[in-house]
Amino acid sequence: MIAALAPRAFAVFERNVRVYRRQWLMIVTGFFEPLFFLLGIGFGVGGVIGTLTYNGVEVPYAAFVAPALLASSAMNGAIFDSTFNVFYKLKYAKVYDAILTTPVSIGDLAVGELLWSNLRGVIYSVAFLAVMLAFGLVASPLALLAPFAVIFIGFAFGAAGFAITTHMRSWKDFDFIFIVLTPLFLFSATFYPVEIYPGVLRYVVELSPLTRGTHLIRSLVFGDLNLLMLADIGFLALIGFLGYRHAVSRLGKLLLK
Amino acid sequence: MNLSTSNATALIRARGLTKTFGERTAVDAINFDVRDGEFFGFLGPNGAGKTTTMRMIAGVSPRTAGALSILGSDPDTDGPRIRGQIGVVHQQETLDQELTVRENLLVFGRFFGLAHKEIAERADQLLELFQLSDRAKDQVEPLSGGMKRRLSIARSLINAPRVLMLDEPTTGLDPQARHLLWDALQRLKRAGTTIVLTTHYMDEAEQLCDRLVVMDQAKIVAEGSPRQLIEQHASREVLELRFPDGTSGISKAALEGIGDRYERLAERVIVGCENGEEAHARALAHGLTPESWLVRRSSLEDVFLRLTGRSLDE
Amino acid sequence: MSAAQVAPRRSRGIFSTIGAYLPHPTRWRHVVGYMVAVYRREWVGSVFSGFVEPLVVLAGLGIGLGVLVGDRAAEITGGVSYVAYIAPALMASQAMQFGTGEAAWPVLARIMWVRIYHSMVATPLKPTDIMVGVIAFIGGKVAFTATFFAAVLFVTGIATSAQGALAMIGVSTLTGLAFAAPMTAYSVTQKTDQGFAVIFRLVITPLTFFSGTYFPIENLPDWAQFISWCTPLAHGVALSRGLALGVETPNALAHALILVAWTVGGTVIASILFRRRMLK
Repeated sequence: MIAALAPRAFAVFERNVRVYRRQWLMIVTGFFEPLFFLLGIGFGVGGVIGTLTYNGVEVPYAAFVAPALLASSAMNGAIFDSTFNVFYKLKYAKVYDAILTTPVSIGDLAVGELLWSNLRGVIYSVAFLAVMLAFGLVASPLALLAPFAVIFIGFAFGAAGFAITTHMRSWKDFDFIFIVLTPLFLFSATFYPVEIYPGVLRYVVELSPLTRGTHLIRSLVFGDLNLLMLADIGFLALIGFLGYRHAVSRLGKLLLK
Repeated sequence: MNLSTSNATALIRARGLTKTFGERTAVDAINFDVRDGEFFGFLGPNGAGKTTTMRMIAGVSPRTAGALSILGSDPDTDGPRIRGQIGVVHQQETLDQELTVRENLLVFGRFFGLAHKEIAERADQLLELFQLSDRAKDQVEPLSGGMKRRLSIARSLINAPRVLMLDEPTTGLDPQARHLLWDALQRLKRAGTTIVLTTHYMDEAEQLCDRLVVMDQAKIVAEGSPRQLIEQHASREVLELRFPDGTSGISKAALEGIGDRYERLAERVIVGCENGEEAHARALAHGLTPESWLVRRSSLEDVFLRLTGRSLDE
Repeated sequence: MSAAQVAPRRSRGIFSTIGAYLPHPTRWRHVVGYMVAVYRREWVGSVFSGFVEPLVVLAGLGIGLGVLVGDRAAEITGGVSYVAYIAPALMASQAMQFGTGEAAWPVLARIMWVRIYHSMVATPLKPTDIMVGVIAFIGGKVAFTATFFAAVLFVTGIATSAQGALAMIGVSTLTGLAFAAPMTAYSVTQKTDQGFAVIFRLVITPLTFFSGTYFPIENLPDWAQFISWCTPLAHGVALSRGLALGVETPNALAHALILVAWTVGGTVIASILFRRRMLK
């Protein structure tokens, strides 16, 4: 469908698929990271914690953590592709300079790259969803919508990462990404409910894009449809849209001068 | 050929084409026409504005002022259509290191919206043409400089472009690789491709170009075929007198009358003249004592020297 | 500038929190072509990865999970808070991450790209000397970052005595060495860095979870307990925790000897493999 609608963006996507056919080990092993978190924190520490109250219902701790790990793996897949790999292609390999001599426009280029970084997130989420099913951590058939919902997470983080990468000068600037991402991952309602945070801190955490993504996925997995999910989608889509706009304008300045 | 017919067949046409970067003017109101099927060159030293001009033609650098038409379209408004019909080879290597030799062609073809089958056939032909077939499955990195350049050119031809643009195609290549590349380019030209190249090598321009413009400091300072340029801006022969201890001690008066014109370089005096042997005799008669001397035909280098007062090496 | 300073940069995944610094699957070409030349080990960056990040993890998981664990913490911690329970374990785990990482990319960089070892081998230095020097140097760096961590644990009262905090530096260093030595043995056989990401993802990350760091090893199935005790981190965690809490660790000498065995064994194998590579 995309191939027909946006053939040039799809060609950029195809290039990445071709490259990663030889680097499948990197994709496969990436899946194990959230799995170990599920086993170690979800079941391991969960064995001590027991259950917690989510939405007024007692749920096993692992079932609470799993949707958050699914959301985080989508973020992870998208953001690493749109930062490290994009930087390499933009600054060092001059892949984009070559591509822009063809009919592919900067918009096509950005869409193609985001399609790919999103696909990684979707692949991880599908695999992780299968693990959750195997462990009996899925409460509702609505969970099957999660791989579609992660597209919003992948779009938000992929586009934001892309936009930030256009400002990077060298590899050492990437330290910044970790300074942001580690706390984002740990403090975004991933391992405990936002209600734990006192006072205004809670509202700061609520505004984290990963908190929104986690809320979206958790609601689906527990079959709890609520209006706040629309806000989640809107918020993530807005970040993605702004990131995309900024990335395209920056790429224009960097490459078409 | 009169002016109107040459306009009718101009594939690329620039009038008052200008590009500024902040305060700096990289290309200053230049005019030129590239005709269908010709081999056209931009000759000039580094920083003359050649690459910027090429980037404007390729539609990856919006012009500041002037008119530019490529294949009848304006790159500002019709970029994708134009880029679909031209091939571009950058001065700097832009091959995709994450793909194999053949994949570089396959992936590139897709950017032009070509069908997989068509691309595959064409890729194999191009690899054959550029003698890369036995490296098709290899990664790009271990290839030699000459092979990488041939692959870059092969890749730029995947869309069967009407115009091929080459920015300094032989810079950094050894003489053998260079001649191999010249042969390949001449075959392409015979097959009907219009070729535009930039170079700062005089011999390259002289060997390849049907017509060329000489650029210096953002402006075009001369235009014509290599032969015309030599006839207009240089004498028939050149006498070179070598003074290893320097030329500063040689007075203007001593050089007057030896030939038609002269240029004094650090260790050489270059004398433009009708007959080099006779000029040499006159030089000795003027009391000059060069360590060695030679007589040769005028080249584009002499044209450039004549037009800008500078040697290209400087 | 020493060769160590041109270590290619490592990138870390966010799932690799918990003092874990997983490499991003950076393809070797990134490193070969560019990073070696570009990268200088930034002091600020290494402080973040070696020191601040583990503290962020401690705060993020220790405090938050501590609230959830609540009163049940006593069942596993013997009375102290959950933060105090995992902090000394994170310190040992951080030493593992750091030691393994230092034995991976920088060592490979010096063999493949900087080729400093090739010039060293041309001197009277024997390959074994070089390996011992390399591994000892990593031990020094581990000790350096462990000192910061121990100071924080002491100031916050998590480490109950100054002697205990000092001894924890020793335990962390030994834990780091127990990973750095065998990792060096692996690195000297490699031509690209592709295997490193796999080792971090499939070995180092699970070890951070299943070595008694966040919950007691006894909560694991028997087979998993057995595997865990075969690796160094569980022993480092047990020693580190005992020292922090000021309680005697059963079989402390055995734990320490196992760490020493990994260090010595790894260094011997590294020397053999390195010699084979350099002198062929």
